[in-house]
Amino acid sequence: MTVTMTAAKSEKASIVSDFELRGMIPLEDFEQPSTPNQETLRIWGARLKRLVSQSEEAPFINSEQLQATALSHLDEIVSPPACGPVIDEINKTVNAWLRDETTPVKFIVTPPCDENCVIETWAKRSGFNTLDAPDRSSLISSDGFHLPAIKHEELVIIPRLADWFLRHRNGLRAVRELLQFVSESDQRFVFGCNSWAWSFLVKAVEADMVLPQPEIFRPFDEERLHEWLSALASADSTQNLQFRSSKTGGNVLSSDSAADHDKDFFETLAARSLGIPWVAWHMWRKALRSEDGEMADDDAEPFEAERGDREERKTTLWISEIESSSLPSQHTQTALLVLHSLLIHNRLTLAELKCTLPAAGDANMLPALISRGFIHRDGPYFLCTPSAYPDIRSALSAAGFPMSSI
Amino acid sequence: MNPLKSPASAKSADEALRLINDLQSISFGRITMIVAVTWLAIHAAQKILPFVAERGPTQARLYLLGAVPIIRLVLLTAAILWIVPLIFNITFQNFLVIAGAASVAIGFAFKDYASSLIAGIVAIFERPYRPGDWVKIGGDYGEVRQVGLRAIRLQTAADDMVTVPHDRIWTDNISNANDGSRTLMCIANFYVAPGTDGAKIKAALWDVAATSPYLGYQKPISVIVQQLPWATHYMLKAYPFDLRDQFSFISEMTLRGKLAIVEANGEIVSAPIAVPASE
Repeated sequence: MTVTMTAAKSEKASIVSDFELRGMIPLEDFEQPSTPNQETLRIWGARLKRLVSQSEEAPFINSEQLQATALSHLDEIVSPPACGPVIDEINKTVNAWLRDETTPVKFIVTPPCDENCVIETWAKRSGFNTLDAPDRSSLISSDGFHLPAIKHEELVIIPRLADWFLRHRNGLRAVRELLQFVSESDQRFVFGCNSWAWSFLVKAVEADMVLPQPEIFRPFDEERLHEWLSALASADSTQNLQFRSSKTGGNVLSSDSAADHDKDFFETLAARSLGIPWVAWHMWRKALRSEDGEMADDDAEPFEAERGDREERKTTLWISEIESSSLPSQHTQTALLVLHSLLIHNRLTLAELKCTLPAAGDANMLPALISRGFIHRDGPYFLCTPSAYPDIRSALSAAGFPMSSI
Repeated sequence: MNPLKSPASAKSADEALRLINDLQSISFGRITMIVAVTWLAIHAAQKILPFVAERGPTQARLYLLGAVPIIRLVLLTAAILWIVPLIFNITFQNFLVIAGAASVAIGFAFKDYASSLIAGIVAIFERPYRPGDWVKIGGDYGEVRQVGLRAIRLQTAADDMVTVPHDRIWTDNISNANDGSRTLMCIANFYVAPGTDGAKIKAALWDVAATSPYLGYQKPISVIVQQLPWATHYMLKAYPFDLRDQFSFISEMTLRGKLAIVEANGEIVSAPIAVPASE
């Protein structure tokens, strides 16, 4: 058993290092993982079946028996993603760029809902200082904006370019001054920017003239997602856990053999999460269920798996179907304007959000969006919820909004 | 009767001269069925496609709306081609008789109606307007909500429904603002007192359009400046991502543009009212 585990771990390590070795890719080469044909057929088949017979295939375990797992326990089981593989890719790419002195700027685009800011995390881990964005309220003040003096360092890192502007008629001055400074400076810069902010900045300030060739990490397909989530779930605190599909009963995240896991689940998760690791992680976490009466209470002892050996008792966490959310049927356009603004700015306070919307009353949509799980609060800030991002993106696209590449 | 002609050839000559089939041989049930099915199919297309277009992806909206008149034309043509041989005895002679009679009737009684019908068919192929387009015909500007056999129905910004016969395409200029695309140019006009920093105002207005939530990113923004005897005229031109937002977009640009001009130390002026010399 130990030999098998070691072999599996070394196999995992070789796959991960293979991704690390390849580094980042140009933004235009990012391809979202495709939905497996079987899954597409299954979805259409289920819809047709529902139309004809009004019944559904019985799941392995009744969903009424399952309940959402307590958040504190989830943090124990699947810790918030540090996105190690992404940071490794950034490290590899930036180190190669630092050795080659031909280009003064390295520009990395990240998908939205990056709550941990991978660029900032990478900079801290690598010992680089980051340049903080000015306070957003100062961006639109009538006194005008003046770029603070930037220390002359070997490498200047601006991890969140989205924090340097506000979509307001006076809100572009800071980002313009920053880009002008970069184009005139002899220093070297690493920029990070979310993909929605980047689409906006290309249009509003022609940022692609100063920051050409944006790069992005490789998409997290089925194989990469399985490796990453397996690594996250293989911590000591989760040794006695097994993750099983509530529909088929199959072991979704088998640690014994790479071939033993539920490939279909990860293909679907990769496609639904658009190849974005933190979106996949949040969807995965949202789908975890424990059986009724068990584990929901933080103090409760883990229950036994029905097939477990007395020696190797394992707790079962059930993975339910990945659910979609729907926008409020009334005032859909207002809801989409709010979501679009939040995606562009990454996060906004209520006052800042009002500045970016056509009418101040549009912000009244916030409670409805929070209750439906599209956005959430982090202190004074409102942010789009990562697990809802695929649904938000799909709704914005259907309504014809300007889109980002990812 | 020519004694040299056989009885069979004489019979066929009689049949050739007969315009309408024997009443007993006409299948009225079949004709009724064809008419009913065609009407049902056209009615369904007119209801279902706009319904789906309004609720489905914006990208497919104009295609779905534009398919309605084409489907109706195809179904009507097929039904007529199916029904005519069931009623009429179609020969070359009979065709000339029917065509002559129809020409007289149309020429005297239904001239305008026929002109509109033919213009409607021409409009399907020439496409001066399609459902979903924003057009100006005469003094009426609105969205083409329905393309009928004889006329189109325009819904104006004031929510009036204007019926315009197709035959206006023979005589009037048709101004189509989007011509089948999903966006159209919107213009916000500003009149500023001369003597202010024009470049500063132009840059401020550009930012007004660039930061609008309704802005489409695919098309350019431009600010055109024109000097008038009494003011400097700024035209802020930009495209919304959805043409249905055009009035919200213009309103939003106008309101924020006025604030931007004031902040840039500009003075917004109004057109002087012409006052008769006697007053």
